Amino acid sequence: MSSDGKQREHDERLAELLRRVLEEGLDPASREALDMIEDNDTEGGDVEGSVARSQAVIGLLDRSAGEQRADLAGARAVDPRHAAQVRRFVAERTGHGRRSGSLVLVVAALAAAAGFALWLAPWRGADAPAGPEVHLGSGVDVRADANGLAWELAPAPGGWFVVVVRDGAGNELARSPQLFAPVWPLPAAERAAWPADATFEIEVRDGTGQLETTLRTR
Amino acid sequence: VDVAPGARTRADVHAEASAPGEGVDPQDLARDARLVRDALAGDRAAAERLAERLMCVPRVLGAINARRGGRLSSHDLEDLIGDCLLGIWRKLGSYHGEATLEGWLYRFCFLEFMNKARLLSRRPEVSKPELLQHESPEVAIDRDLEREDLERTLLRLGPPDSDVVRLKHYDELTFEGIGRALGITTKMAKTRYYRGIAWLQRELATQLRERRA
Repeated sequence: MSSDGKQREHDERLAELLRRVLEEGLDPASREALDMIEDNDTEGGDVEGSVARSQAVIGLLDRSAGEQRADLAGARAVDPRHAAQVRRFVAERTGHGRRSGSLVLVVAALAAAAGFALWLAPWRGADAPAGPEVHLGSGVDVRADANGLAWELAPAPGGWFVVVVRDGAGNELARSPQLFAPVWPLPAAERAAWPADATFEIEVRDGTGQLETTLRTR
Repeated sequence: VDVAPGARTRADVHAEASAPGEGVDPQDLARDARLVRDALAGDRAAAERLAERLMCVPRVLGAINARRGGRLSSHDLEDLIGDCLLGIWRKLGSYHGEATLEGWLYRFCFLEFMNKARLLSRRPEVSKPELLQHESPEVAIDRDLEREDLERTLLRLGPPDSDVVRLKHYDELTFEGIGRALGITTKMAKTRYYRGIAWLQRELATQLRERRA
């Protein structure tokens, strides 16, 4: 039998004996069997030691659980600042962080619409769709609206996107912060400053920050 | 998160095994698992409820820090809150209702707190001078081993045995309740529990012995 197998068998026998000893008392048969196991154990030991260790572990578990319950039952008040931080955090990661309907945003959107349409013009060829979608390579459609750029691609849990804008020569013009939802809120005025031959790269990173793929315009 | 529609989680089994009068209502475990699953799947209402539940994170970290004499400054604690939220979000997909959501969050926060405290102390390990004063490693486990050792060893033990041990101690379920909750016999619940205890005692004793060597 392999050493792993022996260890497993040892643990199984010990577990059964512990159950009998701790639940039913240290009867002579259990003591004898436990003695045999302990004798075979490379560390040696005795019945009392084994029982004491088990009870010590159980005591440690109970203490740990008690401390946890006490901490969880402690002060109930949540600092409003922390409450806002948590709400914002979850909203950003579940794609519910964008707010619409604000009068200010609506007015801003209307004001930006005309200029933004001009900015989109270079990407619209004869075969381009009439709607506001801009295709940035295979597999992802990017919508451009007054609130910024948005695309239909869910990040991995904890993952994020980074969008890099480059000019025709490949020079970086702009780089988004970490975007935990598929949207880059960006003023139309800022985008209007980019040249017509600007290209986009969307880096897709997983929850560990590892780069999964990069989607590019062509 | 890859959860097939209609897939049964362990907590769904908990829900069917509800037994009044035990430590934690298995229905709560099922609800917690479903809440997390729905929130990660993009359900807005679930996400908002999850945010409410996650508000225990700053509170718990504050309590842990207070219990340990304020080892972290308020600035470090603020950093840790952000780090914990990020780490929790990355791990939430692995939560399957094996404990209450708050209990699961607490353990995550506790281990992250210990990591941060160790990092700030600029020592590779938390100093445990009192640990080295005892001569008998076996009988010293109860006094000396800290919760961190226990939690990390429980993580290494892993399910299903660690689930049984946690449900027994942290959520105060009886063996009968654990058996019903996990869909196993009471005898199997006991076997897994004592097997877990036997494994924990061996591992913790070994750690203590190595630390002294």
